[in-house]
Amino acid sequence: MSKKSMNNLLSYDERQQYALERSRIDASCRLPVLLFFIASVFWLILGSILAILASIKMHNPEWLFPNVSWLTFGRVRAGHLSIMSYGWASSAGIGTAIWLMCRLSRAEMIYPRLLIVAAISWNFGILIGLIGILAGYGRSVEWLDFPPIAPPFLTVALAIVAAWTVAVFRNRREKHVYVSQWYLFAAMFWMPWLYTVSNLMIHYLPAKGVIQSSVNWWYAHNVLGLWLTPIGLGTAYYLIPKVIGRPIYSYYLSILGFWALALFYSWAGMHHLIGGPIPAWMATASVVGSMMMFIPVMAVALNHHMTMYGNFRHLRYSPTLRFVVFGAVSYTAVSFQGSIEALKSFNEVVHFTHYTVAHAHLGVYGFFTMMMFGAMYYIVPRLTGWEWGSSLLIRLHFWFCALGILIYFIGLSIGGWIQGMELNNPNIPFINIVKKTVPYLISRSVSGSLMSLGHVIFTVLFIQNIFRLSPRRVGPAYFIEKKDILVNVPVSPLGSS
Amino acid sequence: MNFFLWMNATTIVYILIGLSMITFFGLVIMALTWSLKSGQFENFERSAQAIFDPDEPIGIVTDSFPNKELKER
Repeated sequence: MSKKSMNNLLSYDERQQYALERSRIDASCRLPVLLFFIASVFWLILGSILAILASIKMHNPEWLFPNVSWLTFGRVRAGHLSIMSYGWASSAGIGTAIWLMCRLSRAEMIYPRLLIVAAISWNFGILIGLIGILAGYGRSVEWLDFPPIAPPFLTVALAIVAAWTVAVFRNRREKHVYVSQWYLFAAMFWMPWLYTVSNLMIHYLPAKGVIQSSVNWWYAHNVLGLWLTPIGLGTAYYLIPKVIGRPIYSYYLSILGFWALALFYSWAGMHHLIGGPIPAWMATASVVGSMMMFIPVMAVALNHHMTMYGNFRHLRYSPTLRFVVFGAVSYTAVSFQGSIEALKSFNEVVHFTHYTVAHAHLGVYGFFTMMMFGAMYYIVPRLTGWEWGSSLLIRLHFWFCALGILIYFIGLSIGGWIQGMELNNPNIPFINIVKKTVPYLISRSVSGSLMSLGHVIFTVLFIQNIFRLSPRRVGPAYFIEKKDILVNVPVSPLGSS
Repeated sequence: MNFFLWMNATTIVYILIGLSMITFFGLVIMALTWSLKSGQFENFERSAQAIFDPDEPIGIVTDSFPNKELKER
């Protein structure tokens, strides 16, 4: 018997039971998840300030205290990357992962104090890391910029969260492991190991020569592919079907996509070193790995798009869906682009240009950040019991961020491509190329300010919700009887519904 | 002995990293075997529907803008 027909047989009280169970689980997650979310929003604002500083200082180095070493481009740029990747993206990701894990296991939060310790350790590590970078102790290793005093705090936090994930899974009441849980497990297994090994081989017992750069880019690519990507995709695989009320188009395809990602993504890192002094087979193997990524990406793209097919009208009514679908579309775009970028002939043009920067932001911003905004719009009201303050502000937040990242991506992609073509032409003086990129760098400052404005709006909404300045969520125990929104569910190829 | 000279901290940690890699792949194989045995790949339709509840069944939209009580639909 399908759930839909079951729905008609159950009484209001019986359905209320399910609502209560779910709200109990949500409520049990409140403190640890909100702690990670509050920290992530704080870092988001700080990271945006560093971003604007770095962006403007790149085309206008004399702007704002040029003589203060703490605010020079080299430091704020490294600070921005570290704060956004660990402070914002990872904190929001961990919070979302904790909530998803409880919900999908149908298990209430266990050991919340352990997670609070993890949150404190995580954010303390980031704080001293950021101070270290701005004070001039950054390590100039992209994605591992933190001075060696910070990583142990982050490792402890990651290990706690990973162990907690296993513990809550063992407590599960739902016997089906949903595809999102696979993705979350993958992230939780990979990241602590990846982070520890990379730090050991770069900071504490440094490997010699090119091995160090290889470890650097193995890490830098895997932190995207095996940490942020699985969390982002796991979120999308839960929220898209849940919000529109329609099972995923093909569950089979989603599982296939997951195992293909697990198999191929970890190969791709060396494409960052194409043309570098590493053994040629390493770069070539990575190019092959990057090409193989077409399989999981197509599986995910097909699934997300086909699940949404016929339901695009809900984008008008659901803030969560708007952000999540924007993220899902960006994921498809950025992944295809990434595979193409790994081709050596293409890489010869775009490597070491602003094109790569645009690509990175389409991934971490267009895909992951938008996904996390969507997740927070869904999760936070269910934890606090308070609604978002203003529809208008949510819309403004979405449009500022969406337009911001679009302008950012288009501007820097064009600028980066021109830069790459000219750098390959030995007859053009280097300084002319640098001067030619300035208008595109200004477009980045403008679009970055737009996105930051969106972040400020989101922070206002978030603070409103946390401090209960917005309206209370309607319905008993977060339960809303919505008879009038039953939608027609087209028959999926698996014959569900 | 040469062996003890060779066994410095870096070497030991690097060997451990290598071993952890093997353990890691072992765990992946274990996860795959477990999921096959426990029937995770047997009923895809049921797995896809596991996220729905009787009070939030298939066909119910669970998110909307605040204060927009579905009049626009």
